Amino acid sequence: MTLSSLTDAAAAVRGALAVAGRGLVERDALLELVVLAAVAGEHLLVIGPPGTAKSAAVRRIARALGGNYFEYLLGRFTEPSEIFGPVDLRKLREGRVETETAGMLPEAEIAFLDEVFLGSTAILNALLGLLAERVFRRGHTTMRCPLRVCVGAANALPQEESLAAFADRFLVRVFVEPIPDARLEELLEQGFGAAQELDAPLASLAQLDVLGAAARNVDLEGVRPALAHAIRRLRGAGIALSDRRLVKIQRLVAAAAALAGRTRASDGDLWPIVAAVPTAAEQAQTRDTLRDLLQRSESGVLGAAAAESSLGPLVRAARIAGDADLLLARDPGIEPLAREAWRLKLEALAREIDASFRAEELPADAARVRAAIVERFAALDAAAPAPGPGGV
Amino acid sequence: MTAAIHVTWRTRAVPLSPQAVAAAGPVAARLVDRLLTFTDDALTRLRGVAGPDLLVLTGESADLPWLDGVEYLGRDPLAPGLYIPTTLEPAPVAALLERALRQRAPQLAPPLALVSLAEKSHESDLHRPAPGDSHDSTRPPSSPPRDSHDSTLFVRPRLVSLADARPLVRARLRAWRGLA
Repeated sequence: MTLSSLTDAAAAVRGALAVAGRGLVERDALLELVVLAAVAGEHLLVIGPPGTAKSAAVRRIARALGGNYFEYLLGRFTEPSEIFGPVDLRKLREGRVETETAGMLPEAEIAFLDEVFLGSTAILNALLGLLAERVFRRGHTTMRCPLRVCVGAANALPQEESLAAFADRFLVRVFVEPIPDARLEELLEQGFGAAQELDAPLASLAQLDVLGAAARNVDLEGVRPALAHAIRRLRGAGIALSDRRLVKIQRLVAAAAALAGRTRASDGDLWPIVAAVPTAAEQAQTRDTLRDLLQRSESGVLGAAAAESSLGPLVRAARIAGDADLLLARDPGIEPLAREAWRLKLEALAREIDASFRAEELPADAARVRAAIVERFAALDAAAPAPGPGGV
Repeated sequence: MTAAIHVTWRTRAVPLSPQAVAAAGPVAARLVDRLLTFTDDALTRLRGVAGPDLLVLTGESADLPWLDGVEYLGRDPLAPGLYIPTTLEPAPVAALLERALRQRAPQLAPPLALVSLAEKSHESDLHRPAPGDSHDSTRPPSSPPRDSHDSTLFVRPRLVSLADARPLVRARLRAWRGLA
């Protein structure tokens, strides 16, 4: 494989990510981590409340990358045939239990399984093999599956021991939250236009495979000491990862290097460690524990994912500051309801700042917009005092 | 005599979700003025207790008001009966702290709120000594939490019972402000 083919493939994937991200607000990191997981040959679990564009994001990246896409919302009563295909009745008459897999999960290249933990034992057992080995076994059917990445979604991580073992098959974890108030207009505006953009694929699975092959050949020798050191620090902070996860993190690091167009991994490719930590709280703790190391993150393709993984509170502060800057630049007008709505949005951002950061540790961005909000409210109250105690 | 509770505090890796807001002194007064501009519907989504110079409101995060100088409180999953500052993590863990505080202040019905009114406030007024507090629900804890690393983390800590928190009513807010 030449470096130019690697660079071309990375550029094509970058283009696909850009198009897939259009019409989605704050889902760039999710899209990028789906690509990272696909290049690494791993699977991704996205956790978040209903209606947070989880399926929309995966559908769009699947469309932008091309390939067979399978999507299903699992329930407690979902039959295995709904996922894997019906039993072939003609073969059954011959005494063989074979599955007609056309158009079903075993033939999918990118898959999205919503409410994945609601699947029955039969479904989850079949999925285990399919996810781990890319092999589908049922009755007399045994077939290799072309699956590049499976994205599972759920509202919360499962508590049951048996499901936790299944969940561990999803190496990459992404936690999404509803769009903050300050970005609602952007969400509505972009969401309205998004439905019209049903693009032809901009990258191909072949290019994804080029990156996958490159990732398998990435030289990790130079980065292993730093990786081991990072894992020791996490253990010291009480974050224990299973041995399976520890080994597989290397695949994500290699994928990050390949996506950045490199054949040797460096410290700057260690940011996917965060995505391999299983819970949201531990991911935040990982960002904090490894802040100095992760600040060296670099990714030409996966900017949002690398930034979210590496900076944590700083990214949050920057996001709040960005939202506040937009609102502060907006003229609230003179209509009382609109003014009050504008003020409440700014207050919500100030609340998020004060509830998230101690004053002594306030990042510069957040401190700047907080001061601007205080000043703006003081000026507004001085110019037109808020309704006094007798008002409303 | 009851032995002191030695508590140290450090910054939380992941802040708690805000479920209450506390304000003292002039900030509390200004907070009430702001609340009086809210609609009745917005007011009834909040519950609160008040002492002469202290106000603690509970509610959904999105409903909690903001004002320069207030402090947000949340509940550690291990100590659901104790509201503590969202950005701070106690040692011993919150569950033990909750148990200790309830033992030291059995007269205060849970849930309790530990309000720090810390130096982080941007209001210089907050650094003045608090006026005497005779309200049953706002008493200093028997032994103030201390931070061996950073003495500004907890200043004038107060333990407040939220058992009597009631939905906010405009007339009571006006009465608290001394308005007719």
